[in-house]
Amino acid sequence: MPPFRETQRQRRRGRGDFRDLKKHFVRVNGWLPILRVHARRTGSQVKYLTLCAKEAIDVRYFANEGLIPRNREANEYPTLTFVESDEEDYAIIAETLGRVRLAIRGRIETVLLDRTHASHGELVESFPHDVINLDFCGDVVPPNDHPYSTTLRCIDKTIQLEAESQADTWHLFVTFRAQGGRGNPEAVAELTQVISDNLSDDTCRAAYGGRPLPAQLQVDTFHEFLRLGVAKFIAHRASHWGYAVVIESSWVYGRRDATYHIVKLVMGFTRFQRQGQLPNPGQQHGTYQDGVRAIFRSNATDVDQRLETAASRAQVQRALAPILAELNRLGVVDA
Amino acid sequence: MASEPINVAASIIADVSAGIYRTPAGALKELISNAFDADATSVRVTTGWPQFKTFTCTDDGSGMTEEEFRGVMGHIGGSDKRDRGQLSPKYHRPLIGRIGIGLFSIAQVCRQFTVISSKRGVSKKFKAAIDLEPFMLAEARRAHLGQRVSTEQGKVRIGTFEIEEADEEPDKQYTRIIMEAIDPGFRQRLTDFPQKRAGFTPKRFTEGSIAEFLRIVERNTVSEHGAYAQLIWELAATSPVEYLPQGPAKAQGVLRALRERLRAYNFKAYLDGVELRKPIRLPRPADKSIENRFYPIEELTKVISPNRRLQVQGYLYWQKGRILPRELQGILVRVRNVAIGQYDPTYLGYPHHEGWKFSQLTGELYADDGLDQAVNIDRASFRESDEAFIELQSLLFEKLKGGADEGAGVFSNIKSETTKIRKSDARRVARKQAQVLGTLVLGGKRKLEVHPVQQTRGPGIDLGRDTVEIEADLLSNVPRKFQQLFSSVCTVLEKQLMNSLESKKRRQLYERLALLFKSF
Repeated sequence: MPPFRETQRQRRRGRGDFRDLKKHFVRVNGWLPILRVHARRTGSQVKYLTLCAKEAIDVRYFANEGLIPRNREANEYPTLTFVESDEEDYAIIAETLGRVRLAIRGRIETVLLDRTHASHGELVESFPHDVINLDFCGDVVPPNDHPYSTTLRCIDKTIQLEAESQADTWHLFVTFRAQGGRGNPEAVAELTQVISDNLSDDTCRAAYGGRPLPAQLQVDTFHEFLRLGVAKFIAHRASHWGYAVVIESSWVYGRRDATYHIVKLVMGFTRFQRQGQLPNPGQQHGTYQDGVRAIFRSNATDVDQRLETAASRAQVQRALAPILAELNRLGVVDA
Repeated sequence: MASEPINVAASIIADVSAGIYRTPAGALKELISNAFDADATSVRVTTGWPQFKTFTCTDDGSGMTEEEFRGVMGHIGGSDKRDRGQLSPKYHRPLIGRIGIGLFSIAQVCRQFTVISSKRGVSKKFKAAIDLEPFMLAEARRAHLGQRVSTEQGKVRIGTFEIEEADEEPDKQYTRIIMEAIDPGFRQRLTDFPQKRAGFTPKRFTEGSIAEFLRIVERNTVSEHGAYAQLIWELAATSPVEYLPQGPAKAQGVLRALRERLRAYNFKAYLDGVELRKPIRLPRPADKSIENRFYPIEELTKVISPNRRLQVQGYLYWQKGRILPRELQGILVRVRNVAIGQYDPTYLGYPHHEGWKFSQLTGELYADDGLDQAVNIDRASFRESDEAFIELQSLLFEKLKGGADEGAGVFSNIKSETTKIRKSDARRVARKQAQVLGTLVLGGKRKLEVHPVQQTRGPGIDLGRDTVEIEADLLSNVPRKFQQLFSSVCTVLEKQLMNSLESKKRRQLYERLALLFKSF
């Protein structure tokens, strides 16, 4: 656990993040349409798992849009599960959201991967979810971890739990930070190799298009390299657990004068193999290859560019305003 | 002769520390009281419902500095809140925490907790991680069993804490407590429904606002909705929060003063996002037409000693019919606005048997001065030998029973009210029955009243223009509760048979009918 002083320093540095239009742009254009699909499918009873941070803007936004159920009278979000590692932020979320389906204090990677964690059983039992929003604050392959990092293992475990709990159609939102030179060198080398291996297939090579080769791509645009690498990892683990995956959209924006980037993936999962069926390696591989081609064909939306016009900024501001007002009323943020 | 020391085993201190509060709400109430004392405008408690894994409590009160916190933890039970003055500086609230062990109440809930606090004007905040586990485990207590308490300057160690400091905005003030590793018994209590094992069907409470909560629980008892509902009830009923808009009753006078006082404190408490209000609404909407009486207790002052005077005000409320929910039956004593324990159905040990009247009575006593010393450490009961408590008992008993200054007491008043109501009800029923009987026998909208007489000219019943006379002899065999019905049946039969059956036979018929009614 980082020392209190360090976590507080980070909190203070990020205290204005809730107003960030870039983040909300993705909520509006990337996440909202997916929630709409599930709301139609489930009759607005979307089961939503999120690492929502203290402001829980995603939760409030989707609830305001009528996509996840919220009982204002009872101060209750009956289908919401949230996981928060910081004890102070946990308290703020719990106090301002009211009652939820499941509230867990802990780091999601630890809760999911450590069977002895006090809340492991409850989180596992809460599956399946219709939408899972893994908004990791940090690196997906941090330098102080194995190449197969706890974050990646957490993503894998999430897919496994969805499969084991018979989820047919669901979505995963993944957010991570990409900063060239900061990632685990071993992990970067392995990802480079894996992407390069994919390019030996002609159809994949064609889908990859005119991008620099992986070794150069990770130097030129680390965020694009990581976007492809992580999406491919998800596609691979999805096919292993019996899912075909599509990359619905992906988003990237710069931070601190593009010192680093935030990458957001919106991945859709559809089951092709029922639990209990004999694994079909050929089908799994074929599904994976289809997924890789789709990932290679995809391009991330440059959020910075999309927000250059005053009109687009105003549109996002309008969408965010009611939530900021609510947060201000609750005393979660200052006006 | 040399004096010898008297010692206490260390385990006693641990036992006392671990279990001074009787219920989960008792422990959480102390945190709310702390926030009240700290001039907070809001305190938010969350329980992690429905798993109850992590509890939090955050208030926007004056907060603490690291040094102040060290002072509190180094001197538990030695709060000087009241020594500093009777009122809080900003909202002038009478300070509750005489015993100053509010923070320590958490030991009832969990063994490890974190306190994060910031004080306005100080650009620092601190986080303290408190661990009571090594000192509270059964093994540790056994290890200390029989050992003398080892003291450091008169204090006993019951836990440790680690403290860290960080920067904070100087205009921020709050205290946040995060309780984890919740005591398994505490969790079990909140999630369990022992009623199930006893063969009852428990009613699960899942609704929202406190008004809605009250609407659900006031049908019978709070306890049938489980421990979580009881937690809400106890916290709402005992905390120094405002009444519901319609509560506790319509009356003005003393109630108006109490309502305004609570409003002026500007204090709100939330449990799992729901604002707590005192869940008292008399009469409940379902009983709105029920007969009731409100008995104000205007401010009374009684000198206990030259430095101590008991100051009390409040009310008693009676209604014809049970007060619901059942938990509302009895008297609730509030010391400095915070309830001590729950509604006491014995009325502080009222010595006379009053039977059903107890279930029709409720009330609150606000002891604004003089009773603090009588409160036990659990803040849920009183030392019954305390002079002020004895005085309070006398005041209440006098009010209930009646005394030299009080005239007739509440209970005699209830008795006469009940008799009056019963008579009035009987008259109303008789009028209605006369109307129905008149319509049946005479037609139109005429009334036909039944009067018992010693003797009649006919077969024991005489049908007049607007009265029916019935012989007392005939009625004497019929149970009292059926006499009206019997008379009505005889009247209808008499009307039908008077021209077709001779008088003697009709008399026989009525006598047999009387025997039939008697058998019921």
